[in-house]
Amino acid sequence: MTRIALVLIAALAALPAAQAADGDPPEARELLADMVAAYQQHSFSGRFLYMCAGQVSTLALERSVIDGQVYERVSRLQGPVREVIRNNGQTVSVHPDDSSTVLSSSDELAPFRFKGRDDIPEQYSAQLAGPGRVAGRAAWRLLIEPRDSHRYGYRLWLDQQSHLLLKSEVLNGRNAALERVEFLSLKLDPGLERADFALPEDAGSAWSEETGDGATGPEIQPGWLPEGFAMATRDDHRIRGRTGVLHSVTYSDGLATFTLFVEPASSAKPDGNLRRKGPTVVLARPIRQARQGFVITLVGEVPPDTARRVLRDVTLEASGD
Amino acid sequence: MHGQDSVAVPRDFAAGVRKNLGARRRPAWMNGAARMMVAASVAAATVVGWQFWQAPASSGSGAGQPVASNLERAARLNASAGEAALVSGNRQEPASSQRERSVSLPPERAQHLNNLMIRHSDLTARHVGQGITANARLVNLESRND
Repeated sequence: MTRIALVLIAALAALPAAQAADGDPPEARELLADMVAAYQQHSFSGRFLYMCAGQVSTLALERSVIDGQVYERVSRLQGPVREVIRNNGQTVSVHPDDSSTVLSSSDELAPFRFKGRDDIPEQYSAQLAGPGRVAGRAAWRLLIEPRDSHRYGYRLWLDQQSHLLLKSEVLNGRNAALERVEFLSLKLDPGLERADFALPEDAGSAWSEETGDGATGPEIQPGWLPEGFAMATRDDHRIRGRTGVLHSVTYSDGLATFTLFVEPASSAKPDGNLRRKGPTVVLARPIRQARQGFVITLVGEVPPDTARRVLRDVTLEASGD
Repeated sequence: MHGQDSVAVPRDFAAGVRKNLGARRRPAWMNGAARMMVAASVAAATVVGWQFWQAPASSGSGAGQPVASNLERAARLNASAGEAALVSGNRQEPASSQRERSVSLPPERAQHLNNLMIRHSDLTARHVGQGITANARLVNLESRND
């Protein structure tokens, strides 16, 4: 009897502590990991704004995970009809005149890192900035700050119920948003089926195709990468209407990404100018390998000086060296 | 802000769009006309949407963007939803080592760069942990390669 009483007293004493724990705000890194998991698991639909480079677009998103496969449709709601549909590994872009182009037909690449709370790059600090409200939903506000000047920062709003991203801003070093995504409405579990993501009957010609002939091209050797960046994926494609093979390697630190493209010099002529649209920069330079001329182009969401330094120090090596 | 052109987004901007989004439906004929008009201007849009910067002959130290001070961190943490200025895309972050100028880009070259950006955005959208932003970039690019 005494033992039962002691257990009851202990349980009652522990109750307030447990309630306090439940009421505590979540930890920022835990929320980020939850955000990634939520995006991979939830079916949802919604409308959102995309603001970049002085332009505003309204878009609709439908996303569903059916039997482990991702189905997705992103549509522009104003101006010319434009959609991107992902259906079981195939990505198709639908044009304003209802024609379409296959962007990619393989989804065998592994997801980037940043899948767990311990995988968040140490080059960023994550802080919970308190509650917020987006699309009529209660949100958590997070500030993701870079610890160096080689990458951008982010301000994120995560849905308190589902942990899905409701709003995102890419920030430059002066606290200005270079790009913003903001949901206006979000519906969880909208009951989407495979038929909702049907590809056009005539999916059109492929924008590019895998080489399939063993052409691997020169190896891209970055002489310098910002700390925390690592190779995420590489592939070799032939672009329709162009000669030569386009080799690419994508690098990521878990949040930011950039891709290095290499192609024969005859098919592109760099002018040495850096181009940018919001956080995305494009910079190219000629490069030689084994007396053959190539052009190497960097495309990615990194600061201009990071892009310049990566591109300056990159070299090419013969495949298999 | 160092001579940057920036556009502050009003606090009630998103709410206004949300309100109007469901209310407005275009007639079918208008959809068709809009498609034709905008399709004709797509090639121009791929060029106009980009800002051009002349790169220095050799890169500097790579330290172009200062790391935020504690004061700036505090400001970011406390900024409310609609408060952050959105850089317009013009004249942002001019590094002292750069000389700014506008340059035209041949349509073929512009289309090729557009294609590389599509490829990059597609890879990013499919493989980052959270791909909504990359998807938005992708849909706003013209993927036709005629």
